[in-house]
Amino acid sequence: MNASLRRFLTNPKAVVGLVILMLVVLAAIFAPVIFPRNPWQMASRPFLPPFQDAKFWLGTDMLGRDILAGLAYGAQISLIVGVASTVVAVVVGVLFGAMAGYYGGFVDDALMRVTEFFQTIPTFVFALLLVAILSPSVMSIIIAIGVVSWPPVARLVRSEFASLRSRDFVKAAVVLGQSNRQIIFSQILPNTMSPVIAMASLMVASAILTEAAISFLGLGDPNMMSWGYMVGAARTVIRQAWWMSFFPGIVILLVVLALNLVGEALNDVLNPRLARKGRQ
Amino acid sequence: MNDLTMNRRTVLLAGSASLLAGLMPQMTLAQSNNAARMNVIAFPEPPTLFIGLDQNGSTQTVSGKIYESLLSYDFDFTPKPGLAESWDVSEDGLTYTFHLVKTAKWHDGEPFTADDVVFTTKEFLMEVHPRARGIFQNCETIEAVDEHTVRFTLKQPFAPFLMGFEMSTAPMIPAHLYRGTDFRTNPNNNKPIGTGPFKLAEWNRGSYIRLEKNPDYHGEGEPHLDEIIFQILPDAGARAVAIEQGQVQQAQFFDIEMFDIQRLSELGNIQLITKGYEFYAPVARIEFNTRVEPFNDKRFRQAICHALDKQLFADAIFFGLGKPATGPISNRTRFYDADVKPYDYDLEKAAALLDEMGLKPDANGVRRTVKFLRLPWGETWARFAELVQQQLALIGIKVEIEPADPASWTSKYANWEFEMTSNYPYQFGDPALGVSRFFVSSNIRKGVAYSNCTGYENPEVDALFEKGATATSDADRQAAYSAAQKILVEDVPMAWLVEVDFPTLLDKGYEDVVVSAIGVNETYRKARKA
Amino acid sequence: MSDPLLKIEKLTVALPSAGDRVNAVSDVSLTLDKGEILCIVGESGSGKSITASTVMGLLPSDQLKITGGSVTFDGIDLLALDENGMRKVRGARIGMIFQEPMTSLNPVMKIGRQIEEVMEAHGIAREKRQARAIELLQAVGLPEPEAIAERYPFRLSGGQRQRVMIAMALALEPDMLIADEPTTALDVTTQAQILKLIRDLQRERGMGVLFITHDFGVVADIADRVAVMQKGVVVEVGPASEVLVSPGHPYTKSLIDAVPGFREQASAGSTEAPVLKVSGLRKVYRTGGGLFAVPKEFVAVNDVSFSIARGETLGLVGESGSGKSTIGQCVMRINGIDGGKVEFNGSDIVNASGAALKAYRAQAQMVFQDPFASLNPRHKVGRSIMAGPLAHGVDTATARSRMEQLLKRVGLDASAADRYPHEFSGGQRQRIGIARALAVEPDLLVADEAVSALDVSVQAQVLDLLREIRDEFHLAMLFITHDLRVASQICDRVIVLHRGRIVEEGEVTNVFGDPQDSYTRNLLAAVPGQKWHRGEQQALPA
Repeated sequence: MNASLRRFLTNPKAVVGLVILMLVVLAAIFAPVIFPRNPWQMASRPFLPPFQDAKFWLGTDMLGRDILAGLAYGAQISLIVGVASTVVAVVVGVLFGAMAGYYGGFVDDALMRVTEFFQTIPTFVFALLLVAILSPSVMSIIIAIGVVSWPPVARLVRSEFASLRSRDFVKAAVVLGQSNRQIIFSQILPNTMSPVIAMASLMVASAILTEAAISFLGLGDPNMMSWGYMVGAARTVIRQAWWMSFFPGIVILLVVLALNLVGEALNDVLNPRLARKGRQ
Repeated sequence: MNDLTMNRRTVLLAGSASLLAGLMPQMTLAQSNNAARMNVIAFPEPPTLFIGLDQNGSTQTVSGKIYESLLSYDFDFTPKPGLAESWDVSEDGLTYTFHLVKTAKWHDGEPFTADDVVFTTKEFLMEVHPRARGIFQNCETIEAVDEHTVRFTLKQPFAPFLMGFEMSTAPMIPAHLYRGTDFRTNPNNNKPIGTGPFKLAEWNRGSYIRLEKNPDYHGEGEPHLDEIIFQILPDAGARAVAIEQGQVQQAQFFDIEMFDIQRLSELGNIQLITKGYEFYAPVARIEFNTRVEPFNDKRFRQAICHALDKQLFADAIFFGLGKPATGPISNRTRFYDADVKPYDYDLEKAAALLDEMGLKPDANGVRRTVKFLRLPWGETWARFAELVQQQLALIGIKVEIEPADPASWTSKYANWEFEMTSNYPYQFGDPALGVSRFFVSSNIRKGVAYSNCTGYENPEVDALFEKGATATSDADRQAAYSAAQKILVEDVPMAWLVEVDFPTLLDKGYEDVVVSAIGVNETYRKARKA
Repeated sequence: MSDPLLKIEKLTVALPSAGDRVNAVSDVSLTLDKGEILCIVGESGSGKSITASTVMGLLPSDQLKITGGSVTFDGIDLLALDENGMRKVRGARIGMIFQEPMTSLNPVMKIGRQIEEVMEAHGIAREKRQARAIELLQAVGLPEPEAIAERYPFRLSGGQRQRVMIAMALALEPDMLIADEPTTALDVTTQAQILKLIRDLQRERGMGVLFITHDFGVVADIADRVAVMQKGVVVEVGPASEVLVSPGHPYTKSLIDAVPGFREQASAGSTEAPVLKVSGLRKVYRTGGGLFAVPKEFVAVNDVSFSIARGETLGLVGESGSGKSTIGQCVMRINGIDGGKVEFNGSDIVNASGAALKAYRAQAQMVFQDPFASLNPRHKVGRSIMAGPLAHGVDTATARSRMEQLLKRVGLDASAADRYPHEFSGGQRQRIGIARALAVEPDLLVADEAVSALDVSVQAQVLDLLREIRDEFHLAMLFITHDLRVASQICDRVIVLHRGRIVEEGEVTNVFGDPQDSYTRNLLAAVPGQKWHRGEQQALPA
């Protein structure tokens, strides 16, 4: 793992991605310190263009709110939603996939039909629907994104389990008398985690995008400043005030790009098949 | 626009126009001949053109050209002839006699007579039109004196009675087609037959509605336009582009998003008209549920009124299309009185009121957390809620915005399941028609939206509104309403923020379009190309 | 003779810096004449395949760099050729066949078309191609060549696919054929046929053949000359007759000594009561099937009965598909069965569950074939060995001390416990696998091809270890193998399986010394290098 970590850290893609992510994480953590004022609070005159007032580098929006402060606080919700919904998706996906792949047969058929049912519904529309039903809040957005994004994890874990299931070391564990639970969680699961981790980092990116899209459409948590909300609210005045939607748009782009870079780098390092190809 | 002025914006526009082309129904009608034609936005597409059963939004704008009532109203609500040439009111204010236009005909050729008026006001509207019912239930008798004279006799004086002959309140319905039928399923509902200056020629659903000139119209030489084509444009961007490119000559109400009004009104060939909405004259306001803590305390409501910067709401939310409100009655509605307690933007006063109530700030500076049920009618009202949240935070009131879809908003509002919400109902020109309903205790009706949902109860106010509705002289009415406004503004069951100006964007090539208090919903009998 | 067909001089190929030695191949010099078969023999990692790949220009150049030497083929300097030039030589003048015939064929292209494509690439006229393809399929001994040409690879057996590969390699009548372990993945009878085919074709066409193998038996059957490689260096070259009979280098000698032969003296056997009794065992595999399809059935094991006593080793031998591994899995309750009985110490284990099954798990253990797959790569060795005892309620301290003792017993250092499997060689891992099996103190050990993946010298050591622990722990052992020589070395009794049925069984020297069944006789006849083993050197090619 140390060699993997070293390889990961010397991968230029990973470094660029990590640097951007670190900045975002720092912004999220220190937002209340750097911008003690509530981001919803009017800070200066509305429609202040960027780079004109040193106190408000990126200008203000139509209600005079500081765009830069909004970006910092928006990082909080983006990261919370991105990480938490991915955790939900990974936990559900791993459980479903592990069960289906390990037990096979009827259990597999039943679980995979459920998975397919979820996959047939367009994910974004489904997420919107869930948020609308649960009424918009951070929690409901996390649940909605989690619920729509677990099927790929389940399929991945299932196929890994199905192939690892017939490996000799798993048979050895069966023969040694280990329980199914022990075999699933201690023998097989650790061996499936590399592709799952690589996939999860990409899922965080898509979760952040989905949250942004939900907020853009006005179904976000109305009490949390979010990048998607900023773009969505400012799109109406895009002709008069480009900066209001431009900066949050750029930040979304950068974070998703960074997560994709990190995800790809993780994939290079962790995905055994690709890694092996690289070594020979 | 000549070629030299092509700049980046034009290029952008061209781009967005072609993008939107897919969303826009083709305007396939030939525009080449010399007919006097006007293209108008209809948004949303009317569900029906039968004004008798539906008075929502664009139905009025389109049907207003097809149907008429007895009167029209000047910008200051002075009644003007419509289907009635003249009218007399008795001294005691109990008898109203209307002399009808003798040459008026229905679009199917039948003559329009006093019998149609009796049928409409006595039978039709009483069954299907709640707002009209509120007016005509005051009548003891409604009778045809002769073929062209109708007499209404009231049980007791009802001062705004003359305001009740506006097109959407009392549209004249042909008795020969409707009498004795089930009004809601009458097949004629699909082919509107009115007396108006325009007839329905063609309705291509989802695309356009074409009205053509009624050659038998009773107005001498009227109408002047040959055709009015209502273009159905569901997308806000497409509507702005249509105005910008001259594909339509008129947009009204909130057809064009507020933030685009300023820009489009500066296009050169477009004029911005805010007159013609006097009959509607909404006041954007926050309603408090006075049944719940802490909104049951007048001081809390007053503190909120002091903490909201009305001018900022007018400028930032309504983009300057409106001005600070002073009370429940808009200055464009009759019997407005400016002499009420002023709530200037004063955070210290607000804080003092809250201190007095014993609401002290906690460690985070929060005195109290309250909920705001967000009005689900687009971005404007989302920004409105955010600005409320932002401003009240300054006096330590933390506002949690509660999102809702239209159905759940209506349900929560009607069933009193809210703490604060925003709203902007029409006032229909007279406090007795559009204002008292929100404040009199007799109208506290759970489950009914746009009733007295705040739960405000004040016998004195009830009596004043009663007096205002029944007094026969305008001076008496003014006295009653002035007193009522003073009390309401002291008690603030609502925070009245902005008198909203609806904008009409109109091509400068047309004249005499906006001529009455109902503006774009008028008949357009006088409208003409310059 | 004139210049040799192929001349490799002082060839050195560097390994990536991380490796434990500098060069994959260093200073290798070899020659191959027309009409000659040169066998390069060595264990895994000896550099024999890298040498062959260098000649074909198939080295992964980003990983391995040629740092010195030259390769001359018929006067052409192969190392100086660019990719384009190399392509012309490859196929047209040098043919190549690989170990795994399935992965070397395009699964979605018909056989005939694949052969024609080789010719197409080298500009043979379209109208000639098809006839030539049929001719080639006939030449490699495939029945009904026209029909085979119309088939896809998955419909052919492993031996047939390897014949197709040879046909493709011969399509352009090359002067030289490079065969990299072409028979390793095949059953022993098929291997014998393919070796004969290569030999016949080589004689018929006068090709030079560079034959890579790890099996001295194969060398004895096919080679004119032998080059022995060890750790990238050629330690000995010479005519097969000399090297095999009187090896000059000690490494060669040790390799030859490690090759298992057939045991001559009968084993004493065991007189104890049987601990495992299998009777009438039947196992059917069903594939396909589902909502709308009727599953296909394949009878893997049919009416098999045997028993094993403690202190005794029973061998199950047969070719792939004979059902020998299935029997092992049925005995271990990895698979369910479709008929018959499996009894352990008198109690039925087929229907055992809960505590009874758990108790059985502590008494019967298994050693697997692939030492790379049988250990969890994420678990330290100590954890893997202790997993069994811990699962059976042994306390951690006891499990740990038992684990440490066993590591020592199988010849590993106690510090191995804290290392991961990938830090060990194949033989060491197989020792770990044995330690893991022993950790629950079983009575029965099933060894499924436990030494098949190992190099011959390591194989001998592991076989010794297995024999020792069987005696020391007084185990009953079920030894499953395809290699009759290995079975002969370790088993007391042997069962020969063919298509799921027992064709012959008995004391091992009896069965192999005097086979009664024709299938057993075929199997024995196909074992490579027998004549050499029996010292009949005149049978070796001159």
